[in-house]
Amino acid sequence: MNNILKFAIVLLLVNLVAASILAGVYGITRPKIEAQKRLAQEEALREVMPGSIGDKLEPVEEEGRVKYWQVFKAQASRPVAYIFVAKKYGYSSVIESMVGMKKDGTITGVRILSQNETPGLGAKMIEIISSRTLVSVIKGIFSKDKRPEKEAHPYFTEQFKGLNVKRIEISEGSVQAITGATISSRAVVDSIRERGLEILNAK
Amino acid sequence: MLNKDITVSSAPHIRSGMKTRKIMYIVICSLLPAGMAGVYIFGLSSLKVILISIIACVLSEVIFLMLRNKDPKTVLDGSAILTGLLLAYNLPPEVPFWIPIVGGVVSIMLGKQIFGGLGHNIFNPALVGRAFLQISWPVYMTTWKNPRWALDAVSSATPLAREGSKSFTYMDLFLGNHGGCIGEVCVALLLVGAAILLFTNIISFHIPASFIGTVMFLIWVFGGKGFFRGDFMFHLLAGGLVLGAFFMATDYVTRPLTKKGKIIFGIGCGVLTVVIRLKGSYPEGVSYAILFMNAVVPLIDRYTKTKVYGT
Amino acid sequence: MKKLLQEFSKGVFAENPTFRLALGLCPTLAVSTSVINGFGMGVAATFVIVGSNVIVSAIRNLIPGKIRIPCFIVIIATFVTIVELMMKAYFPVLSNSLGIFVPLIVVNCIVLGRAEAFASRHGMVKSVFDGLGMGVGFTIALVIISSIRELLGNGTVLGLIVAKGFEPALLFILAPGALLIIGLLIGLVNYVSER
Repeated sequence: MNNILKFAIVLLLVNLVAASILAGVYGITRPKIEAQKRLAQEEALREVMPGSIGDKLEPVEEEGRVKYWQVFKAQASRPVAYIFVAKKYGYSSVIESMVGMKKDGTITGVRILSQNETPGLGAKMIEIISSRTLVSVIKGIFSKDKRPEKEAHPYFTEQFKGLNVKRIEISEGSVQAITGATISSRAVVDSIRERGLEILNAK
Repeated sequence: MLNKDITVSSAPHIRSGMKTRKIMYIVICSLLPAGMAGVYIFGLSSLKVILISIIACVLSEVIFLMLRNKDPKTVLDGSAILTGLLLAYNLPPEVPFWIPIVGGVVSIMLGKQIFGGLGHNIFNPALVGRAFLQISWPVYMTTWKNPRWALDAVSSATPLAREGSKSFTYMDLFLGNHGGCIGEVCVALLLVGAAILLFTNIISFHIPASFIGTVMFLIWVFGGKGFFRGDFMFHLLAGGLVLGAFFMATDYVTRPLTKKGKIIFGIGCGVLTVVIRLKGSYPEGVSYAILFMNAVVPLIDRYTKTKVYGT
Repeated sequence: MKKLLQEFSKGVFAENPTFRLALGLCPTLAVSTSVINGFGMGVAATFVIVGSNVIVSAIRNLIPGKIRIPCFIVIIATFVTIVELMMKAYFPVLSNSLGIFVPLIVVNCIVLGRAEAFASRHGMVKSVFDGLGMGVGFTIALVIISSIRELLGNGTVLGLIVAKGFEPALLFILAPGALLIIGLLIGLVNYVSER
């Protein structure tokens, strides 16, 4: 009996100390973590809709769930753009993408939120081709010409920029499919077109 | 360890008078007709792939035998040639030249020699090579070519790839008039080779029958819209099922020993093939199914071992 | 001093957690896809090992033997949570790419293994050196594995492309490549140490 009491007290003490330390660390890091989260959100927003930072975002709900967001310019009463999430089953997973769209249907940006497609084929939709090679970076250290790097985006979703949701399709001149992954590419394009038209027509 | 003066011929130690070497060469010969069909269908580029693959396998076998201080003449047992041939049969006809080279080295090194050479390998070496290539360079491994005489000869999907844009008649699939791997397209001539192997008692019917039977049954049940509507003839003729069931699942080293074990092995291969084909992220599942079941063989052997009389 | 250096170097070579003891393989398989990830994981784990070793060794005589494991776990979990929060606050990119494997350091066998096998039996200074050795050994192993995987599987070194024409073998970035590389390296280490 005595032993059990002793064990309990020791464990309690250890836990108490641990908990108070963690509470302290949490208190210190919380503002920083929240700032990082905001930053990440803003970055996501900027990627799908450059130039919308600072605008008012208003969720449109249907049956208690957020269907999409309307973007308002300051003071304006009618939304100028929409941000929505499109999803569809690709080759081996549901592909979810976040899309920014102006009110005439022009796509301002697409970002793949989640996918689990075949590595090397469908999964290439999130691949970023970097131009930074070992040689070029070493050369860059010694050269005086210090131009800022261009920001790299996944080349597949980059193609959507400026196209109109009403007319996107997998073809030359519109969106080119990823080599060897026609089904995954088509799923992304179809999901964006269907969802985008749905929102445009609802107006 | 073993006395160095006595060389134990590599497993299997067979009851008949047949030597490993003779068996290997019979298997190679039985594979030739299907390969010739592949070359005829896809053109000379596929012959190039076959030759590069065989040379890569034989050379790496010699090199690794020497590295392991073994007699390089062991390469003449034909197993490396067979591995190269099977590997090439599992490749699309127009892969870059370095694909069969890498595949051959991987097959021999990671598939065979690292385990201790022929008779000690757990997995079918050719399939190890193919799995490596398939995962590493999926774009090359799924870029197919139409038969020479087709109008759009550039690239097309294999019938299995669920692109669904084109339909094939069973006769096209049976004779090989469609895109696919070099050795798997012509089912008709594969069956001729399989008949030779069955006739000469080199393989028994247990693995192929249970493998193919399971695939066809499960496809029939689950493969269509709604139950019992699957197109099982299509799944038999398209893809590498026939090649896999007769020539790769039956590999002497990596299959179970007893009849019961072979049937369990075949059923396992069949179930996995269907699961991968219908639900997986690659169109073809035969090679992964066989590799997976290879890993289970020791377990199967353990539970299906024939009891010694009186124990 | 020589003794202490010995405690340090055994973790790096003779008892390298990854290559000799085969401990902590789960995070090794998962995060060794790029050198940055591998190094970040190694440093995080080193911090946890050293921290928990110090505390465990400091209170080793106060804790009844029967409840030592739960106490160790609480101590380890505390350090892991500190690392996790810090990483989220100051290295969000690294934290994103390591994901669940940072909190999972709690169940990394190396950490509990060193607390139980070493720190609970030795003094604080020795425990620090033991923890450092193990941590550095783990980090080195991770960096070796991840640089091979990144080079072969992605064609890059520290995120920089090595050669334009080289087509990386995707397999090495995926799970089978990790198993393959770790297996080959363990084989190589065994071969060399038997010589």
